[in-house]
Amino acid sequence: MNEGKQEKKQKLEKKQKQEKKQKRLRRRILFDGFECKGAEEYLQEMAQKGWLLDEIKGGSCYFVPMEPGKLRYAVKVFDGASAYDTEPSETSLTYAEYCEKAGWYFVGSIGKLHFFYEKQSGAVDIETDPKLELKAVVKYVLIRNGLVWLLFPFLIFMNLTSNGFAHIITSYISIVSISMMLAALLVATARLVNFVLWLIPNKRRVDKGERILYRGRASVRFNKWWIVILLLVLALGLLVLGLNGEKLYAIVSLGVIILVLAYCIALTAILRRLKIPGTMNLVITIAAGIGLSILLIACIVVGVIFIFPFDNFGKVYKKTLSDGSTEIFTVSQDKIPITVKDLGISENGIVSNDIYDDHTIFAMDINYSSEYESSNPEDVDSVGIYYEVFASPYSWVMEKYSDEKLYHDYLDFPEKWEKADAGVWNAKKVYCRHDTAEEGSSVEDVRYLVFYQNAVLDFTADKNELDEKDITIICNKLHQEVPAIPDLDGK
Amino acid sequence: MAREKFATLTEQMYYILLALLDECCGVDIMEKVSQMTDGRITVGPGTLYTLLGQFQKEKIIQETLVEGRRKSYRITQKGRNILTDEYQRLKQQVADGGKVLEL
Repeated sequence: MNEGKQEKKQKLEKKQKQEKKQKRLRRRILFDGFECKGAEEYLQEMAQKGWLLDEIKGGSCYFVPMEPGKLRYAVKVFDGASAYDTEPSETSLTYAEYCEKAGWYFVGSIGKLHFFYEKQSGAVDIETDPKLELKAVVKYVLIRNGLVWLLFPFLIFMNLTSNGFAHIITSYISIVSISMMLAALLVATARLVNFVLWLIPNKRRVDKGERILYRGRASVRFNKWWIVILLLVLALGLLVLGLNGEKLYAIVSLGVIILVLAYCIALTAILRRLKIPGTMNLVITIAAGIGLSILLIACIVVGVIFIFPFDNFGKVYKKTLSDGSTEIFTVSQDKIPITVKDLGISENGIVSNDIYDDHTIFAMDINYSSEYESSNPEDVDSVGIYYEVFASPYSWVMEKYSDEKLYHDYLDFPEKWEKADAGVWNAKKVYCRHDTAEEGSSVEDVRYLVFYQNAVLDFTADKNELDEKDITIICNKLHQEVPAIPDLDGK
Repeated sequence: MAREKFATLTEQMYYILLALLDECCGVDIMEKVSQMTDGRITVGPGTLYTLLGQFQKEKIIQETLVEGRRKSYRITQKGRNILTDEYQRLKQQVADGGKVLEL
């Protein structure tokens, strides 16, 4: 008889629990340690609307219906907890017990952030020493955001310094990745400014023995917009890549983002189930992060090997030299405007023509090479022409590129360069340098840096000099590809 | 180092140490301090927890009993010295003030 009653009671409790779960509302509050008041105000608003904070799980707040009314909440940074705790640790529960004794009901925690509501009216404030309180909040905010505040400026600096201006402005991948980093930096900087502007007056207040004033709802509301801005920039970036011939890169980037998100969600769920302490969580997170990175790199390497068209490297040739050794070289037959044949460099042998083209709506940067490999076993070195054309309709782009080109190619060794006749090229200015043959080689080369209004030509040929006829051929043929380079017949 | 850190005590520190002259459960200190000061001083639970941790780390108090999550503490000799020094300092302060104010 008793067992029957107990069974009934258990069923009723289960049903009540299920009903409660069905009526639950799930919300995520995005706030930092210095915005605790904003979170408290949000929770108070929810109480006035008839929703009571019932549980904190996986970083989300779960609400259950209540009689609408006023309820005092307290959200506090507890330094004794670990930021990696998925469930309140023993230390957190002990801290919560102190707070419960003072009249607060402990709902749960997200890392170091602990959520309470007043169960007895007139409960003593949880923190009564502003100095200790401020120290804990500052430590929490700096540890939580410090890496981001340092990482983005560093990444942007690395990106800008390791890649030249020409590479960035002519590659949609670079433009999009820098734009995304800049957007993230903007958000991180705005958050940092908000924190510093909060910290300075509060430091003064604490020195005077006054209480800390946390940021309120307005600051918390704005956090959502930061996420929206970042997502919009990301979507726009992927769209730009997709529409400009970088579909594969866009798909891979999207795949990586989805994989990382799936990894974070899965890892959080697993750690929550394991119910292990924060330090262990951190170790597992780092280990799993390294594992995921290796997996991603492996996927990308395999993808590149199978997807990248190796045919573009051209056909492979072998040449037996006079000393009996073998030289292996590849030959590609890209369509390029000027080849070694046009400048009379080639005789009998194989010519390999290569083109590497990068362009965006801002600028284009095309690298050409045409190399001649003699069939004579005595000739060890290949000879050829190598030229790069950078062009842009925007004067600021041209100015920046010209400065960089001069800085890297001319000003590094100004003694090696001499001014050449710009009139022959119909250009603004021309620099020329002649390099004598290296020891053991018979190849000499001549190099021209030609600056036009909307283009810069960097031309190197393995010959003693370019005569006017050569220059006319170069300009006229390049004019077909890049109108910014003048057609000398029509000048 | 500890002596420097707690060379002067805040009111809350002072009363927490006074409360721990006799063995006392951590959570009961709030009430004890309030009674000692007729409600003039209140110690928040978060502040109390943090200070107990710091005092214990600096061996100013020691754990005497652990029952589940409930822990009891008592002041150590080092804590007593700090408390006595603070008392002397405050007494001197009052005496100096009395002389100047002619009270």
